[in-house]
Amino acid sequence: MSVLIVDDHAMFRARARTIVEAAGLDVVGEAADAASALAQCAALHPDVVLLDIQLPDGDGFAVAETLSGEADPPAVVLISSREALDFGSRLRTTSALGFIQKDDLSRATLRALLGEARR
Amino acid sequence: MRKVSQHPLEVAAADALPWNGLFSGAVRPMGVDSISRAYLVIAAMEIGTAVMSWILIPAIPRVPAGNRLWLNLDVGGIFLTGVVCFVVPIVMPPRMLRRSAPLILGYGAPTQPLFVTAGLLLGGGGADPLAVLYPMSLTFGFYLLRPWIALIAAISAPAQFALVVFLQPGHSDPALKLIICAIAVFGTSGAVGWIAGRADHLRLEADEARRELATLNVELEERVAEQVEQIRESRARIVEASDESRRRIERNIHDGAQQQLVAISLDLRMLAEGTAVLSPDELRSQLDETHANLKAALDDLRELARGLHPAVLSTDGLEAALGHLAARVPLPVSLAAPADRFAEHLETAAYFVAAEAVANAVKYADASAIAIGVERTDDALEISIADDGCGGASTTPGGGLAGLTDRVAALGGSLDIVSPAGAGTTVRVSIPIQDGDANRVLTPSRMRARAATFGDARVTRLVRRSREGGEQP
Repeated sequence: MSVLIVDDHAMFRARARTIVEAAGLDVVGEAADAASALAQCAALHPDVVLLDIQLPDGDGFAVAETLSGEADPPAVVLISSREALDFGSRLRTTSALGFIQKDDLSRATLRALLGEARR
Repeated sequence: MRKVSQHPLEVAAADALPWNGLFSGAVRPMGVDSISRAYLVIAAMEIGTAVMSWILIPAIPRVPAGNRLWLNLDVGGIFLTGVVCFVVPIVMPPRMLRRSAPLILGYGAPTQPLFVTAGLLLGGGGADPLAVLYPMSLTFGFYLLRPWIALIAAISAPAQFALVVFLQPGHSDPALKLIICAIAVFGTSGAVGWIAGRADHLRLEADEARRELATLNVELEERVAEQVEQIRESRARIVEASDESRRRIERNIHDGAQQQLVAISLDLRMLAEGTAVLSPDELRSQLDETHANLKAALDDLRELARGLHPAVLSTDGLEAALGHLAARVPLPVSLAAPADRFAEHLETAAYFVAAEAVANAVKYADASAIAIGVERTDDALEISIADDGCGGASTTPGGGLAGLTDRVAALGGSLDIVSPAGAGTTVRVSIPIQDGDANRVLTPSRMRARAATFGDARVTRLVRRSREGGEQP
């Protein structure tokens, strides 16, 4: 299963890569903003996009909407250092697969969420 | 023409005298209607006097026949004057009417008694008793339609008439008669003139003061409205700046300490879960790195807290806080500040002005040195921050210095930026120390300066009173 990591903090991307790989997934690319995230999705067709909600040039919800309109949409996992409650209704209406608070990102949470996607 | 340099009250006083225009040429501008009324009143007086005189002349006892002819001719002159005064305002164009009025009404009144006196002399002592009514009617006419002056004229004119008749030949010495006539003529018209002039003077003075006060009130109202508007705008900007600074703090926390703590949390979990198989040395170095990250996160939080409010400012005051600020700047900073403590709002405002100006100097000015000066004057705390950088700085709406300008203005102070291109930037701030002055929109010194321009103690008093009245709740 291929994964694209989208986050503007390199410090976080490095750790996310380690965790995603430890979960047995392939990291096929990293992006630091919304525009390059969309470009890399188009180029790499990842199965999963680990998508930060706050990006310098837009927000993850919009990126998730755009991706969901594509022919073979990837599963989007939204991530943020904020907690889910901060995003209120936007999380309830998003087309993304799920949300993981950044400091909860682990093999277990990833597997729990993506395991659901496989079923 | 009215001279500009003359005080309005002086002009009014000069205008009010019956012989106005005789010496100074200063004449109160009259409307065409007033002038026409004056002419008509004179006409009525003259014609009435003439008719009355023709009726009375035959009744005057012991008048020689030659003098009786003089009298009739003279009364004819009075009648003719009345007719002319009746016709003038009808046929004369308004512009000419307005121009000639000062000449005829102003010069006519005082010169008439001279002719009367001359007539008495030339008439051999018996002539022209009725001519004394000339100045009376002219004076009366000049004062237009003020009823109480008309009353005085109405009372004094027959009195003069009686006096002159009483002094006809056979009654007394001609020289004495002449003197009494002259005194009567000059005295009465002078008294009427003086009373009228005095009344006019007072009335015009009151009018002038009222007008001045009204103008002043309008100005004050405009100024107050303007200041209220400025305060409203500045409040809105302060609220906006406060919201913006909250957003900035949130971003700083999110991008700084929070990201670092997330990373540390992930690192520790990975270590705990054994995500990677590590040797003891690798484990130790991983823990060292995590520890260093934790220290960096703490530094970030400290910096953030200091940005919100430096603790040393509260504990040790402005000089100490500015010293810490100077120590963190990567440029040589000279600091000259008194060790005095000031009110908290003064210290806070002064500190953040200095911090913002120093941050700007470091970020944008390409400066090589910064000088911070704090001085306490009698009534203000003055702070200056100067750099030797590229200059050309100004406040941008919503920028840090604009927010500080509002903060300083809210304390009744001022912030100035001198920043010629290529010659460094100096930010100067002056904040009044007295708390009472801080929130006063119109300070007493400003009001005094305002009132002084009117150069009139009475107006100043009225202004002060209106200000004090306005301040009461």
